[in-house]
Amino acid sequence: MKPGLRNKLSTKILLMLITLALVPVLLFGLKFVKIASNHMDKDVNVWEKIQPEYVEQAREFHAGLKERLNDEVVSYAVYSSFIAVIIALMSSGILLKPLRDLTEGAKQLGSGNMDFRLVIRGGDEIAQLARAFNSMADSLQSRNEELLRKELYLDRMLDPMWVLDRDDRVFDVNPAFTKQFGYGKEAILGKSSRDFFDEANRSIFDVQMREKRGRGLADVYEISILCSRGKNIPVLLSCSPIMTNESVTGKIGVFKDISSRKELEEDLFQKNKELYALNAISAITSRSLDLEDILLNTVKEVTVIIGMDAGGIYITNEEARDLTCAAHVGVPERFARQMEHFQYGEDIPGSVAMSGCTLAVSNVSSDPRVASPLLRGSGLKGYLCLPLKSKDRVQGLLCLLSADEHDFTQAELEFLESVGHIVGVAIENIKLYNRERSRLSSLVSLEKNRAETILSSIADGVYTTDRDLRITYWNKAAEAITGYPRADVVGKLCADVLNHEDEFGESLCGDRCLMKDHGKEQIGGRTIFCSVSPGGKLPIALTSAPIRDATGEEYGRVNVFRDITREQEIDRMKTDFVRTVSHELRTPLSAIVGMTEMLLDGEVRDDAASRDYLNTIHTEGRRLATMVEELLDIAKIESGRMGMKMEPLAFRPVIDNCIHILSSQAASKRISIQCDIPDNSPLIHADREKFHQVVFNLLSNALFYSDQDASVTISSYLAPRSVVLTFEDTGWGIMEQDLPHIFKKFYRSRAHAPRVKGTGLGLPLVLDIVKAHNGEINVVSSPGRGSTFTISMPLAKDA
Amino acid sequence: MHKVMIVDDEPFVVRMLKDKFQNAGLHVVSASNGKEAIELAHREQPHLIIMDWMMPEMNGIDACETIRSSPAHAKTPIIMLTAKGQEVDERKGKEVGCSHYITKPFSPRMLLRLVQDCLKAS
Repeated sequence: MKPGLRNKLSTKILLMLITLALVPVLLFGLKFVKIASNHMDKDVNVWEKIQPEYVEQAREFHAGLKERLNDEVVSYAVYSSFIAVIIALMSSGILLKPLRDLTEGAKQLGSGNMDFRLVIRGGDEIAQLARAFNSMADSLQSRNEELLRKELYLDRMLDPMWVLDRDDRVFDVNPAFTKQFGYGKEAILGKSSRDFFDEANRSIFDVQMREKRGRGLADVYEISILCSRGKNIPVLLSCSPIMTNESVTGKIGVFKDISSRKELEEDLFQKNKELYALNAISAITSRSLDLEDILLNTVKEVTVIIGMDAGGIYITNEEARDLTCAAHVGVPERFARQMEHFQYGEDIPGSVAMSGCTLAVSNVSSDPRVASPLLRGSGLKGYLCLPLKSKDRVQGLLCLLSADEHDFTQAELEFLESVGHIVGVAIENIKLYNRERSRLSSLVSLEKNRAETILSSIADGVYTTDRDLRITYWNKAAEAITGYPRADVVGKLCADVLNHEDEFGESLCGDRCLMKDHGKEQIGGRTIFCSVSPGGKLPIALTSAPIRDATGEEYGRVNVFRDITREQEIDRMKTDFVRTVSHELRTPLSAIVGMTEMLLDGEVRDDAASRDYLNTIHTEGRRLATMVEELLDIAKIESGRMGMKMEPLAFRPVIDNCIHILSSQAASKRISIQCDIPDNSPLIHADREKFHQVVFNLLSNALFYSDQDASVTISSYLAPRSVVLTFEDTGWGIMEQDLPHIFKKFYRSRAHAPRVKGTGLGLPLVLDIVKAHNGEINVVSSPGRGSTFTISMPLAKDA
Repeated sequence: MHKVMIVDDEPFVVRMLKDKFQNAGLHVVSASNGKEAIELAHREQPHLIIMDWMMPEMNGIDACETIRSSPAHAKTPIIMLTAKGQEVDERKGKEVGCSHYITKPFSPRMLLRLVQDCLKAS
C-alpha cells in the first residue's frame, strides 16, 4: 500500500467499517456454521441411532447445507464489505470534508492568514468543532495582533534590550540595541553575552549571572558595555529571567544609558570634593589662630584638590611692601629658598600682589606672560598665582605648580577664588588679632602695674587668700603694718601667719574664722588682734570680702586691715573725755542740787549761811555754764564746725581790752600787767572773737596761777610770716609732771592744794583756737618762778 | 552721839553735809584728802565714813582700802560719795570694802536717811 494511502482517513474509515461489517458477519457466520455443524453432527448422530440408512443422505444433505452456508456467509461478507465500502466512501465524504476544511483552516492559520474562518453548518459535533476552530482562530488572530503590537513597542523602544537563551547567548535584540551599541541583530544572534564586555566589566557580569542563576530573580546593576566601535558605555542593566515551568529558560536585559548621568556624577563628586575642601579650610581658618598651621593645611588641601604637585602661600607686609612665603608643600628645598621672598612688583608674585589679579598658566614654557627665568627654567608646566584678598586688599598669595600641563577650568578657578577669599580674611583677621593681642597685653601689663601701684600705695594692708585660706597676695602696707615681708608670707596659711585673736585672746581661726562666713558679703567691724613680727599683737580692723569668678563662685577672699591702735587710743580718750565731762559737770551740779534742797528743807538756819549757800549755788551754776560754753566751743572747733570769721586784725586793741576786763581781778591780787606791744604792729589774720578768747584765757590763767604782787608781761615780735606774742608771768609756774598735760581737757594739776576753780578747759580751748588759725603755742615754765606762754599768729594777707 | 567723818576735797560738799548732819544731831569731822582721812579715822574713830573718790594726795578708794584693813574699822560703814558713776567704778568701790556707793549729784535728805539707817544697824 502506498504510504499516502495508509495516512488517509478514508482508508482508515474503510478499514474500520469493513472490519465492523465483516467481523460480526464472519463471527456470526462462523458461529452459525458451527452451530449448524454441531446440529448436523447431532442430527447425524440421531439419524445414526434412529435410521442409520439415512445417515449417508443426511451427510450429503449436511454437506450441501454446509457448502450452501459457507457460500452464503462468504457472499454476505462480500456484500457487507461492499456495502461497507460504499458507506465508507460516503461517510468519509461527510467526515472528510470538515476535516479537510479544518486542515485547510489550520494550514491557512499556520501560514499566517489569520482571517480564515470555517463555515459552520448544522449544530452537531462537527459544527461545534468548526465553531471551536473559529474561536481558536479568533484568539490566535488577536494574540497575533497583540504580538505584532508588542513587537512594535519593542521595536520602538528607546532602551536597548536583549533576550538571552538558556545558555546566555543572544536570542534577540531590539532595534534600539542596534542603534545604541552598533550591533546588527543578525550579526550577534547566538553570540555569548559575555563577549559584549571588556575584562573588567566581564567579571561584574559573571558575578551577577552567577548569583542570579537558577534563582529566578530580577536585578538592576551598573556595568559598562562595549559598543561596536570599541567604546565603553556605562549602562544600567536591568535583568529579568524568563520562567517556563519553574525553570529559567532565558533572560531579558534592558539597558539604560547612564553615561550623561555618570558625567554629572563625576562633576558632582568633584564639586563635592571642592566644597569639602572649602569647608575644611574654613574650619581650619576659624579654629586656629596659628597662621602657619592654617596656611600649611590650606596649601596642602588645595594642592591635592586641584591635582597640582606643589604649592605655597605668601603673606604680604604692607609697610615693607614685600611678600614672604609662610607655608609650602611639595617644593624642593633649594627652589623654596629662591622663591621665599619677593618685593612688590618683583617677578610674578610681586606683580600679582600689586595688581590683585589671578594669573593661571597651563604651560609655563609656552606662555608669553611668564617672563620669569626662574619659572621658565624650572621645568614646570602648570602654574597659578592667586591673590588672597580681604576687602579688596591683598593679604597674601597662593601659588600652585604642576609638572605637567594643567588647564585650569572655570570651576577650579572659582573654587580657588573662594579659598582665596577665606584665607585672605583669615590672614587679615590673624594680623589684626596679633596686633590687638600685643596691644592688649601691653594694656594688661599696664593695668597690672597700675593695680600693683595702687595696692602698694594704699595705706591699709591688703591681702588675698585662696579657697584653702593660703595667702596669695600681700601688699606693701601689709608688710609695713605686720613686719612680715611678702616673700615670707605668700603661700602660707593665713592662720599660721596672722593668727587673729579676739580681745579675750581666743583664736579666731578654725570654726570662728571670719573668712569662712560664705553667706556674708563683708565682715568686719570687730576688733581683732593679729600677730606681728618680731612678736606681739596689734589691734586691727579687718574687712573681708569674697572674690567671685564669672559664675559667681567664690574662689578666694580679699582682706583689708589697718592698725587701729591710734583709733583705739582716740576711742579711749573719747570715753575718758565723756567720763570726765560728766564727772566735771556733776560736781557743780551736786552743789546746786544739794544746796537748794537744803535751803528748801530749811536746814540752813541763819542768813549768813544762806548767803554762803546761795553764793556757792550761783558760782557753781556759772561755772557749769562756762564749762558748757567752753565745751561746746571746743567741740565745734574740733569738729571743724566752728565758723571762723577771719579778718585782718589789729591785735593790740584786743589785748588792751582783755587787760581792761581783768583789771579788777588783777588789782585784787595787786598783780601788774604790762603790755610791750608797739602801736603800729602789723595786722594778723584772725577771728576777732576767738583771738579775744585766747588772750583772755591766757591772761586770766596768769592771774589765777599767781600770788600777790606778781607781774604779767605781754610782748610781741615779728617773724617771717607771723606775729609772736609772749605772755610771761611770775606766778606759781607749772610742775614738770604737769607740763605735758596742761593742754588736755579738764586737766587740773593735783599739785595745787586748793583746787583752782577753773573748768580745766581754758588752755585746751586756747590750743584749739591757735591751731585753727594755723598758729602755734609754746610754754616754758619753772615752778615757783613763773611761766611764759608763746603763741604765733599768722600775718594778714596784705601785711 | 554718833560721829560721822566726811572726806571730800570740795569745801561746799563738806559744808553742806556738815550742816545737814549737825542739824540732825550728828557729830561731824572732815578731811579733804585720803591721807588726812586715814589719820582722822584713826584719831577720831568715827562710826561712819562718807568718802569721796577724786581727791588730791590720795584718792578715796585707796583710803577706803586702808581704813578697811585696820581692825577698828573693819565693820564701820563707809559710804562712797562720788561723781564717778560707772558700773565699773561701783564695783571697784565695793571691791575695796565700801558698804554703799552713792553718785553725785545727790540728795542730802536721802543721804542723811541712809546714814541714820546705817548707824542704827551697826
